[in-house]
Amino acid sequence: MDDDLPSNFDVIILGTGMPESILAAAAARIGKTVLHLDRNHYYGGSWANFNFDQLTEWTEKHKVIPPHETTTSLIDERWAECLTEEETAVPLPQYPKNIQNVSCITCIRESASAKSVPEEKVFSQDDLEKTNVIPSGNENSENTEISHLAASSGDSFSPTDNEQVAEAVGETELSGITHNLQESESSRVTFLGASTSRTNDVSNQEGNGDHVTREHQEEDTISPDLGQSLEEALFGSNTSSDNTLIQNVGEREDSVNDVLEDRNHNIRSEESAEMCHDLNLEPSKPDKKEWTLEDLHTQRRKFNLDLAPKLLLSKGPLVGLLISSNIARYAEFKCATRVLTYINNHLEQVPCSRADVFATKHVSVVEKRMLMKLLTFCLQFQKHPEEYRGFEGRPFVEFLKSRKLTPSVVHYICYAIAMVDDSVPTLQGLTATQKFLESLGHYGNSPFLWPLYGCGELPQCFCRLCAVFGGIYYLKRSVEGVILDREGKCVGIFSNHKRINCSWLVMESSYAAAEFLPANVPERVSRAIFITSSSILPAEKEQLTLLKLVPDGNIPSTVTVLELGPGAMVCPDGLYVVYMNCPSVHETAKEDLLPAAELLFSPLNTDVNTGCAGSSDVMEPEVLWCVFFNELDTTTVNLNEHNPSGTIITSSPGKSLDYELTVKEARNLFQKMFPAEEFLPRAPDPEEIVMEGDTGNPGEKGNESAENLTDNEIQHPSENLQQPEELQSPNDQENKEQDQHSVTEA
Amino acid sequence: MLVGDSGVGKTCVLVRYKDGAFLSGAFISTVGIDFRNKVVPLDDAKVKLQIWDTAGQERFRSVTHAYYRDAHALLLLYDVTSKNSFDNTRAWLGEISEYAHDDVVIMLIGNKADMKEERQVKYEDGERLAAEYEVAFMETSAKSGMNVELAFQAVARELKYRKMRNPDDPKFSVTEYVKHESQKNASGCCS
Ligand SMILES: Cc1cc2nc3c(=O)[nH]c(=O)nc-3n(C[C@@H](O)[C@H](O)[C@H](O)COP(=O)(O)OP(=O)(O)OC[C@H]3O[C@@H](n4cnc5c(N)ncnc54)[C@H](O)[C@@H]3O)c2cc1C
Ligand SMILES: Nc1nc2c(ncn2[C@@H]2O[C@H](COP(=O)(O)OP(=O)(O)O)[C@@H](O)[C@H]2O)c(=O)[nH]1
Ligand SMILES: [Mg+2]
Repeated sequence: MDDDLPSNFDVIILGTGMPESILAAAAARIGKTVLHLDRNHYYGGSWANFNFDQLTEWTEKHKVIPPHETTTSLIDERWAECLTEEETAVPLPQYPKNIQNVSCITCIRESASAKSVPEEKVFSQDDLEKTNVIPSGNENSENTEISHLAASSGDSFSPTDNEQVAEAVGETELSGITHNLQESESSRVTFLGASTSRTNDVSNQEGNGDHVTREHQEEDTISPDLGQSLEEALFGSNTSSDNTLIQNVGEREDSVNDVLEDRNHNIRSEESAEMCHDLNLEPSKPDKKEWTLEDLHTQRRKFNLDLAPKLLLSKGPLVGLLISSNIARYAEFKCATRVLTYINNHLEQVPCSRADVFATKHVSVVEKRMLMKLLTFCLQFQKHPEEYRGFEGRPFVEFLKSRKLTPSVVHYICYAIAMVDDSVPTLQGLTATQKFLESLGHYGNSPFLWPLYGCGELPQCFCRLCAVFGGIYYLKRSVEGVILDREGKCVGIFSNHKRINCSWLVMESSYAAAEFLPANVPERVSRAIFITSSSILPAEKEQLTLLKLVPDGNIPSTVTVLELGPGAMVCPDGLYVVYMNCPSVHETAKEDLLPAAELLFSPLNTDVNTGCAGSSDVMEPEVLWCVFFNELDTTTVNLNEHNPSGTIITSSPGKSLDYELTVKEARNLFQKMFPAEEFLPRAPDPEEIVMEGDTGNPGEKGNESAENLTDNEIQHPSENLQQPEELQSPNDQENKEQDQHSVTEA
Repeated sequence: MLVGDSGVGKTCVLVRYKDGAFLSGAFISTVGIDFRNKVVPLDDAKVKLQIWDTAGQERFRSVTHAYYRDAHALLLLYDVTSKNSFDNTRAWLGEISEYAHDDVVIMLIGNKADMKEERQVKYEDGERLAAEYEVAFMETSAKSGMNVELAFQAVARELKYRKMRNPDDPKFSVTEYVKHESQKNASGCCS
């Protein structure tokens, strides 16, 4: 295979994490030749996403202490033949040390067969899936499903195709479909690129025509959109594009209603009757089932576990970039449904939207008014400097207290909305609050979005775009050295003993030689992944939860907690995944995060054979399996100070909750590499690209159209070119593989 | 979705189906195809196929797993003039069974059937492998257009059948359908 690999590239990129993948896409997008390598056999590096078995494998691999490497031990004599006299080679480390202290705890038995089987355990795989699938559907049914028609004149909404397909497959009752079904119920957000194309009638109708009654139930049980409008009414200062969004959401509702009318004489209605029937038969989840390690392995494919879970701010730079670049079509999102806080020895939902504020029972009417007033002020705090005069440099928490707010309201705002600690100055606290509020209400009841199937999807979306624009991908490919010219500028790499030249070399920090990096990377992140049996705060519907735990006697630094269920496509039905991370304080992540785990979960069951897992009177979730690890945090140092010219070093995921820093980093580095070029201009929709037939001179033509494509122009028909067909509705395109087909009746 | 070794003709098959043209030379390798939509009229209904290409990531076995995940149907191609590409179909089937839905529709396709001189893989070999994995099989040529329409048509039918399934309908089998249709067309369309 090696022979196929060209030996010259504009850009070589090592590592397929988020910043590297964004850069890869951006470089390929402007026509640079890109070679994108990863030493691992999977995408994402420290940002990767694994099924259960893959995570176990990762854990085992990283438990091994890497061998000590010295510069001289890495030098390869064979390089000399490939170097000119003036060139030198610097070896790269082969065993990265960015992950440390990996510690994994299994709290359940290996398999059920070891002991007499409790009754609930006798489920066959099939039964299990059936029982789980069907009720979960209805449970989620209240969730919102929103498509974001960014600057689009499209007037239908898209996830419909999915649903009907999901339904179609759902009937077959095969395993593996569970995801699909759940998916169709969960609240999803998809972004449609800024397309001006007209909706294609066929697809539009067929999409909607099959839409399901479940959707209807959603719409009238609660009205999240209504909440959103209230939000809009309250925080009316938002830009006009938001209004467009709201409007489109409204339109979408209409289209749903139309669908529902169609639905009545749709042949598929009897199927939903069937579903309800099943539902009555099996009303509840077998949540008291005893899970074994064997079960987790059997269901491995239903897990999508992230090494670096993060959330996207609805109005944040990543969402903006995904939409403007048209990469959003490769992913789907779900809105976080609640923000929790730990106060007075229990977990409480933080009221952050107007609807929440009205609904909450933890806050008195007087407090509600105070909270609303303060939130409204924070949204436009710059306009009212008199309100916080004198507090600019003083802690935010003091400012809040000076407003005669009750302690719980101060707590909500400071720790759950601004998410800052007591030392943060007022201006920074106000800015953080404003950022939160600005992203609120665009897609649901929280400012945060979660990528379905996990954050590890995101770098892959950028990689796909890079590949579409000619980038070459090669996983499981090591790089042994960097070649420098006389001036010390990087001119290429050695990979599998092959010399490959480049103008720019981008390396994720764990690929870089020690001498390229700052002498000391002082900070680390402590991370943990828990698989649990129930939610930390059970609710009627499945929730997607964000929680910040404030440092206290036990908890050494602010812990960010994310809890996700099957609706987020991260685990099988009946389970939850909880992620924690905090800036490292102690030597190991386990020491840092165990107190938080003890606060939220039942004590970890370390003697798996006592079978205490599954005992019925415990309220707190039980941990079935977990892993702790530390990760070097290179986001807080300047990585591009000591590195050779012609190289760029990118950072690890770091501890921030969102992707703001990541996008900023990628954008800045891109500008450093290609100052005059546009950063990820919108990629054309497939239907805007016209392929040529065999003209007998394909090479020449090909270059021409490649250029056109790069310039983001639609190629005009000439000779034997075809007319571009009527542009498809963006709906047709954004849903990726999921709506591969759809059917309509003539 | 189209899968299979690099160079077996996935992109060409897609372009042939979508645009009725045959590509050759440098063009296809410079600009990747992301995906294409095509609406297929079937009896009294219309099926919309959204067909995804690998974007070249298969070249060094670096197809993203998400690529398989949401597929309802996979066309697994090999090149009848390359024994190696045929041998690799087992590896592809392995990936598919790990990452795709359990009930994904799979069709094995031997492409470049027009290259009679260079053929290395017999029709029967493809047929046998398909039978072993219980998937549908046919040979195509993106160059002549042979069976390209039929391959997608059969997939569309199967998907429609699964979706619209009516207890009274006779059972639909892609394999049977393909056999039947290719015999019917044997002396017809292909050129
Ligand atoms: C979906 C999929 C997943 C796979 N996953 C893996 C995997 O995880 N791990 C893995 O190891 N393999 C994997 N393989 C590849 C495996 O099936 C290959 O057949 C095998 O690794 C060798 O084929 P190749 O494609 O690398 O090289 P070929 O395509 O066989 O070789 C390319 C060229 O190099 C020449 N060549 C090959 N080997 C030599 C040699 N030793 N000396 C001289 N010339 C040579 C050939 O003649 C040919 O011209 C996967 C394949 C597929 C399709
Ligand atoms: N003779 C012949 N050549 C083909 C056929 N299909 C593809 N090719 C050629 O095979 C090469 C690879 O095709 P391509 O579609 O890029 O393969 P991919 O890598 O699988 O997408 C190109 O040079 C095509 O012209 C076919 O059916 N017959
Ligand atoms: Mg191709």
